[in-house]
Amino acid sequence: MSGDTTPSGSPPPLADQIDIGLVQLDSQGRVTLWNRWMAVHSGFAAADVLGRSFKDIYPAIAGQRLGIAIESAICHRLSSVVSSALNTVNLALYETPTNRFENRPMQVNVMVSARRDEAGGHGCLLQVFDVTASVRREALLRERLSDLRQARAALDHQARELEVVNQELAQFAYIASHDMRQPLRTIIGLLRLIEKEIGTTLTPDAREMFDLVTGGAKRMDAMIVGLLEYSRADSRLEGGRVALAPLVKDALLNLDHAIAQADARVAVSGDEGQEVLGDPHALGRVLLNLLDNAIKYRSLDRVPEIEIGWRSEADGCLVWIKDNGRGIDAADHDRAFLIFQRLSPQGEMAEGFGIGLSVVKKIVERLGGRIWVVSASGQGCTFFVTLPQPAAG
Amino acid sequence: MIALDELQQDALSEIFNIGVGRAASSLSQIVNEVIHLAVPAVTVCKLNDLRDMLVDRDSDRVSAVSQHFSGPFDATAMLVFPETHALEIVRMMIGSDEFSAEEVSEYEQESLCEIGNIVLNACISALADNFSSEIHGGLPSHHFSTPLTLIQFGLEAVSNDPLVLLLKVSMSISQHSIEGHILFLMSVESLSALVACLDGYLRAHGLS
Repeated sequence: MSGDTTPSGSPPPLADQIDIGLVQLDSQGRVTLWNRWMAVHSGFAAADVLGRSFKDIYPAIAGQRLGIAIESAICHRLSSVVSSALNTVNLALYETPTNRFENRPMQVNVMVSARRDEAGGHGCLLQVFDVTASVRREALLRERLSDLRQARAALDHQARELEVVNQELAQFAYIASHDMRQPLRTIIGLLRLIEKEIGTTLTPDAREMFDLVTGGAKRMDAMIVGLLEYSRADSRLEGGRVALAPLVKDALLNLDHAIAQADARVAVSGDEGQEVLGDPHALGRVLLNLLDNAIKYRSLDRVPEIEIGWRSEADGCLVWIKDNGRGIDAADHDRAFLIFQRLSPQGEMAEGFGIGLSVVKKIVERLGGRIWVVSASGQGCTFFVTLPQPAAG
Repeated sequence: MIALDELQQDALSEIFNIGVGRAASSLSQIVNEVIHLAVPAVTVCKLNDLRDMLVDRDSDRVSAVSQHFSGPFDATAMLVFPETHALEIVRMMIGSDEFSAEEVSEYEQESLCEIGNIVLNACISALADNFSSEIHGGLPSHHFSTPLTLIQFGLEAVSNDPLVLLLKVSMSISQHSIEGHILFLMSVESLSALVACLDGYLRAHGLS
């Protein structure tokens, strides 16, 4: 090829050393310069093309932007850029000889500058740049971008659908429990009337069966109330700064009677000025529920000791409620927060239908916090809750 | 300052409209869509007057393709669009995704450069044809900048208090219409030479 023909000893011409294609055409459009780069990538040696019309070598460019740009440079002395972004440049150049056999042409940008040729006529100079790699990169980038956008759109769509389903479910739970309660209230009311009518005449067996029916009806009512409460935990929560200490005081005041009855000792420790972010009513329910559980699930062989405390930490306010009650088996820690999962055997002293903790968890998570329990069976348990707090300062 | 009379303005705007008309048909051919280009007004102003003229409320930066021309008169020609409009054009033309101005890739820049090149060459070619003169055009370059930088660039390109032959240009493609400017930054001498060519043209057509 042309570059190899340089006599040894003298340096090859500059045009043959640069890494772009250089082609010079005279005023008749004939090739007067064809550098080594062009020879390597076109497959035409300089000797084969010098003196020939460029249009004859590449008939495909006639009427195309490159053909017009060459004409414009030679006839009107105007220079042009012809980019692969807007045009297909039909120069049949290949990165490597193998590409030629696989018919994978190089993508090029061409600069066509008007230039006076050696004979003083108006010719032009073509600078040919290989942009295959960047075109490929761009195509890949666009592809990825469009994949990402599609994935995001699909996720958004799913999230919206989930939102709708969730709302429907909450609505359903509310309506179902609300409507189920009506006939049940009638049953309980009628049972009360029946007892008034014939209560004194019942045989011991009938009395026992009657009490079972009444108890069952009442338990069912309590369960439905719990369900209602659970579905209401989905309702809108207010945001804002709330002082924690007064909320704890209120909860303890509410439980005054139960505490006295259980003969429990309660210790409170925490910064009086601590504030958290959330809905005061929802936060109150969380504290009330957890303290109530601590009393309810006490151990019968020791005096109930309950400790509630809090402190500010880097990722929020940590609240703990510790008791010395029956505790929860390590295997049951996750199950404790599920709806209708009651961990103590039926008939044991504590009442409850496994709704309280599921409501607590739901509220805490909706407030942007976390809840978990540390416990072992028979050794009491400690519930930890993190709640968002106002930024320091 | 040199001012153009009504006849001169009409003649220039007619010549430029022939030019951009050709550019529009070249562009339409490239993107396989109907593109219209028109030059509704031609005026002469000072470089400093451009400051507030080139941008619009959507963007305070401009896309500019500049190219130097020499012949009976010398000029640095620029096709200037508000940045957001320029990106709109190129997106419509190459059907690319929505990149923000910072993310604009080589691809878009090259396209913008070529679009400007086609429009500016067509304008100059129309002048050269009608004035029967030879005008040599250099290679174009594209850049995003502020109008202020553009003015500084103009001051360096043309010394001695350059004047601007200012063309309003409107481009429409698939129901979108975009307004921009074509500027010819010229020295007083060059603008006088252009006006002389223009008068020659008018005389040759029996119009003055």
